Amino acid sequence: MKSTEQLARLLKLVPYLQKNQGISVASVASHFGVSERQVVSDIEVLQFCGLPEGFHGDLFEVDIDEVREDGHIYFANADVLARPMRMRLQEATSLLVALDMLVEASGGSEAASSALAKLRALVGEIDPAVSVSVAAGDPGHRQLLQEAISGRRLVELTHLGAGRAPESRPAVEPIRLRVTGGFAYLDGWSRPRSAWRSYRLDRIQEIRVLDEVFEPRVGLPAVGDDWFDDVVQQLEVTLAPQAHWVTEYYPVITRDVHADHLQVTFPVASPQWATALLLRLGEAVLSVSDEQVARVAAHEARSALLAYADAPD
Amino acid sequence: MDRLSKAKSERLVNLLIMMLSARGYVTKRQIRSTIEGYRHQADGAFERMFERDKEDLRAAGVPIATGSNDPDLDVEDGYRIERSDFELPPVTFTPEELAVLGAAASVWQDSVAAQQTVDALETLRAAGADPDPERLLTLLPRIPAEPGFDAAREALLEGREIHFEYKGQLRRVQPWRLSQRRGRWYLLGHDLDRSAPRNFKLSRFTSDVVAVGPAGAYAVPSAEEVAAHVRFEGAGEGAFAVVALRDGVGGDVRRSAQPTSWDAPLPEGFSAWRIESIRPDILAADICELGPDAICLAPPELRTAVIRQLRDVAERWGA
Repeated sequence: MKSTEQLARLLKLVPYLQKNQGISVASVASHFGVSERQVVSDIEVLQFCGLPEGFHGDLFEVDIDEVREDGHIYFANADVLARPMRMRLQEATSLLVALDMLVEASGGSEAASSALAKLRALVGEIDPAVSVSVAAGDPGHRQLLQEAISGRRLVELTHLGAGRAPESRPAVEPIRLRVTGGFAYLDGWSRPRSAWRSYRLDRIQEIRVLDEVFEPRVGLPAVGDDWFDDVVQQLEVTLAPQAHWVTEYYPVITRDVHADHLQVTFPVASPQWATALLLRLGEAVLSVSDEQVARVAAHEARSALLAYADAPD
Repeated sequence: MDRLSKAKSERLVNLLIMMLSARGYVTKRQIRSTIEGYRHQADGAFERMFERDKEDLRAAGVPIATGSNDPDLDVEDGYRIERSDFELPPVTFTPEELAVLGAAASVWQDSVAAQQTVDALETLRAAGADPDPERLLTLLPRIPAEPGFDAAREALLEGREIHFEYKGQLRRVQPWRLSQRRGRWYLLGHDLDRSAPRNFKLSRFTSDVVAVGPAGAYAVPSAEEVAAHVRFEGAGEGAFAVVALRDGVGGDVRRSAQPTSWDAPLPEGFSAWRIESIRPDILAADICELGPDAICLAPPELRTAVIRQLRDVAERWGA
């Protein structure tokens, strides 16, 4: 352990222990993310710290034997360090950006906004140097959903699916709002599908909060940032080198770069998604693992061309 | 933990308390005779030890000022820590705000910013607040990082120049801002070889980011000026299209579209939409993706491009 790391923790422990007299070694360890042994070791250092001169009564008062045997910490005579040190620039800006995200994700909730304002006042005028923009649709929608989540109210979403999925109006039990990869999603139980579903907020056109109050179900999948975790279907595609950008825009399972082509495996959410991918990429696709997907794409392209009767050859 | 580093931590805390609690500046001589760990050191050893300790305190964020108690004397032979510079001001949070602060702990992913956020929350905890990470589980924003992000951010916060390879070419940049859009990171900075602001996409970096030279080497322009220079990939001239979309479908294309009128008759169940796109380079792909649910009406060049791509797909996979 680096001594600066221990120093930073000691400067937090002194005010913390004064405010939490008799706290157990175990809870200090869990609050500061270190082992119980480390907490005891920290106290061993602090028992020899205090006001200069080192006369009896000038040092911090803590009974190290009691800490070791009884597991509880009583800490006194430390008024000189009654408050923690200010946050470092890196710490303050990291927290500012995280709070900013929470304000954004909640559609400007009062608690998130006031927490951010208090933190700004606390750390002074600093530039976080980092900005994050989220495609999260209408902020009013996020607020409505946040309220529906805490009130356990059923909502009806008017939802325009990705690509060629038609508009739908599912009744949904809303559970949480989440932001992944620059997009905000609502996770909830879809009544018509009888399954957990995620809805991208910028694809929601309208929200109606219904009167029905629901009992939250158990089993909401944990958030992995790999949203395709549960996707079993895969599509292997060979791409021309100029299509390297594709792997930056779509989640991929594997990607092998060769001199004259790229070999990419995509997770496939639905057969429609795979067809749309081939239509979208056009001549950049050199080969594809699923013949059926390729045939459907060709068929769709031919039907689309019928609308261009005047098309010159 | 070994005895040596324990002795050092003890010495650092006592040095800090001495500088913090003194009425004026304390001299090096006073420090040496007071702090237990220095008292029995030889001159040279004490000097080296004291310099390193000061550096360690400053690295941990402790603001040590230098000066003298004698205003007539032009020497800075003393040290002190101004309490108002050192201490976190008083603050209280409501239970709702504490729930939000608790949720902040899990926002950053794969970045040192995650640990820094936790450290910041521990400071609040030491000040008597108790951020609750278990309460607000209904709001889960995540900020993923990318390789190069941590090094670029650290250099930016310190005001240091960075070097990196971009698409195989060495670039020397004074970083101004990191922005994320659609889950991808962009770096804006002053490109020293081109003597102009430039935007870089982190996923195109082909080497590690290396910070070079001293901290505080340049000043970042005002927030307004920085914002005016931020460009994301593909944001350019702007382009438009008129497209007939089958009613009720059209996905992401329709969301950014406005209903419009079209003189010629449209197939039954279709209506005309005008799309303004900041990505003219992918408009044709956006339309082709919709297959028979979309018909490109205008402009003629785009219509030709769509027809060419659809033909290609039909022929390539039609056999």
